[in-house]
Amino acid sequence: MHRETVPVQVDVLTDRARTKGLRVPWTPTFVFVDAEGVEHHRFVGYLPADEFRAQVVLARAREAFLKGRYDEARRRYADLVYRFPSTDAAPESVYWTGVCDFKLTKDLERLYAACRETARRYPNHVWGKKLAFVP
Amino acid sequence: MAIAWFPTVEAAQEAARATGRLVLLQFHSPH
Repeated sequence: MHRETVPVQVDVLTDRARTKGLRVPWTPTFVFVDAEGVEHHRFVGYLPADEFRAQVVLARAREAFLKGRYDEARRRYADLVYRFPSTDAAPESVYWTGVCDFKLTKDLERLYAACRETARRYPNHVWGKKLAFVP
Repeated sequence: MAIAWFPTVEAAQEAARATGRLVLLQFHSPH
């Protein structure tokens, strides 16, 4: 975790401005921001270690994607799927790997293949259900 | 996993800027 993030605690009772500014309504809430304070990911509640680690990788992947670093984003999403295939973050990471492929190659079939893989591997997860319509 | 919390958000942002990491804010209530 420390390789990917710099962790800091915010007391909601004493740092009300930051709590309100980032619209945090409940604790614990984990918010990932970059050095400029731009939010890239968040989740509410404590998680088991592997789920937590997967969320850290997901946050880094999202940051890279949103900043247009699609090679890096793809590597991070694929790394998440490889290291944490049973976590809740894995299904959408399969999908976003395909989105990155599309961004990098403009080949729609790469995206469709990722959609099909997400639906096949994770049929009971919400991301598998979202993508089940892709032929 | 023992977490080494940074003392302030500002220090965390400085460290994030210097190392290319993200800041992980854990909002908590001590009560």
